[in-house]
Amino acid sequence: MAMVGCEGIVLRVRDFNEADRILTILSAAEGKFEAVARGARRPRSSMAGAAQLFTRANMMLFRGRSLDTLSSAEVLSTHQRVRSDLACMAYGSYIAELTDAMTAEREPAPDVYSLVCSTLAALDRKEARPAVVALGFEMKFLSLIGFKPELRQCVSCGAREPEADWFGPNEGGLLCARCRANDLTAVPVGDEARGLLRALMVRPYARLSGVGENGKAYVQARTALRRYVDLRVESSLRTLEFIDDVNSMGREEANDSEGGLEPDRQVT
Amino acid sequence: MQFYAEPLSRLIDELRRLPGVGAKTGQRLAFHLLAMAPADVQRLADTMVEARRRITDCSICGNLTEADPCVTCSDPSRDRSCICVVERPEDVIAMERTREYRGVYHVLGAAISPMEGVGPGDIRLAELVNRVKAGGVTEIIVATNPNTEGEVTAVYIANLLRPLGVRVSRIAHGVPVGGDLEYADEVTLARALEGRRVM
Ligand SMILES: [Zn+2]
Ligand SMILES: [Zn+2]
Repeated sequence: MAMVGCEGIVLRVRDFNEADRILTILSAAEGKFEAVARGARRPRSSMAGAAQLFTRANMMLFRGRSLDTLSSAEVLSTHQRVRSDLACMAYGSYIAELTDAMTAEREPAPDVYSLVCSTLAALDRKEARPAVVALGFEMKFLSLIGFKPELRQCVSCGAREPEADWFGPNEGGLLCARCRANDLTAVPVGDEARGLLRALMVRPYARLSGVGENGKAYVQARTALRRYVDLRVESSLRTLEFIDDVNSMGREEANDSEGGLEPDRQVT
Repeated sequence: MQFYAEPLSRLIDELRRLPGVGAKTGQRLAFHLLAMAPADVQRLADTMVEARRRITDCSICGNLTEADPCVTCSDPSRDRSCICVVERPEDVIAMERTREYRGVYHVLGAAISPMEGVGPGDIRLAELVNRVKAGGVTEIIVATNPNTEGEVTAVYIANLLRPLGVRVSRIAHGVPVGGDLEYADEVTLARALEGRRVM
């Protein structure tokens, strides 16, 4: 059997057989693939640490016909904070699920790999704002995989920016007041919202820390981007439902005790 | 294409609904059942129906039980001020095997998992909060699994219960007994270091 080594990140973990786990791994050179981590659910397994959601590791694998087998792993990062905070884990899971849903198996994806790595690293920082990081990821990821939206002019007629104050998820970019009728999914995006959408596309996560989560611009940009993602992803994402559920639970219990992703700073 | 007689293919379909049973295993189990004596198959079927009918969830701790409340919850020698929180009924059995623990339990039913769509509202957390609010509880030991889902559930529980004035602790995860330090992986070792005790 052929042995291959690669650096990868665990996007998904499923239990398999008595004590095994099947991992969905994303790597730069090998793209996305599945590998079984034998015995990873046993407490004594040397594989248990690596066979965890969000773990980044140098892995050695036996190449199988349909499924690889993880032979050994050197953990590079466990993203401990992402794993121990409900909001970070929820948005981190969303990032993993979106990546999984939109990448093909066994197609080298170095750019996507480094984006996922930098995104999880950003989520892992103490001051991270998970909702903003996830928004940035949506924009950067879609742009990277061939759905870069036009954010300078109307995609239909080319009208320049201040006039193009709608976003058409279906058309894939800004629309002017005349052309927005072409796209029934279009939503308004004001000056600030358009600026925010562009910032999400080009700025590194560290430079998105000033983004406010309650303003009109944020809500407009998020609505536009969420619809854009919805249109591109063919399946409904469980993690997104989870985030919505937990957020609405947080609103209901706001006066009560706890609940919600971020009790002290509500994200919606 | 019809490979199997109709009752046989139905049997295989039913067996395949069990966890870990695929097409191959389903077929193997079905052929095995057909090779058994009719009385033995009858006994197996009766036992399954009987168990399903008589076993329910304990209304206090959520563990599987025949009588409600369960044996542990109704045992007067158990320390009711200490609740050990676990994910599944199997975990209660594992804890009981240690013969060390004298408190009571709370079975969540699952761990929080965004990937599986299991939110805080889907597991028995409200019941846990109510037990603590009812009074008499001073310590909560969180014994969820040491994986991503178990960890985040533990942190969530700690944040939920701390304002209620109970002590919340997490069982230590680290180097397993009998394991050589040099063979333990980085994550396990880091966890063991975190959970170190004063001697
Ligand atoms: Zn136009
Ligand atoms: Zn009970």
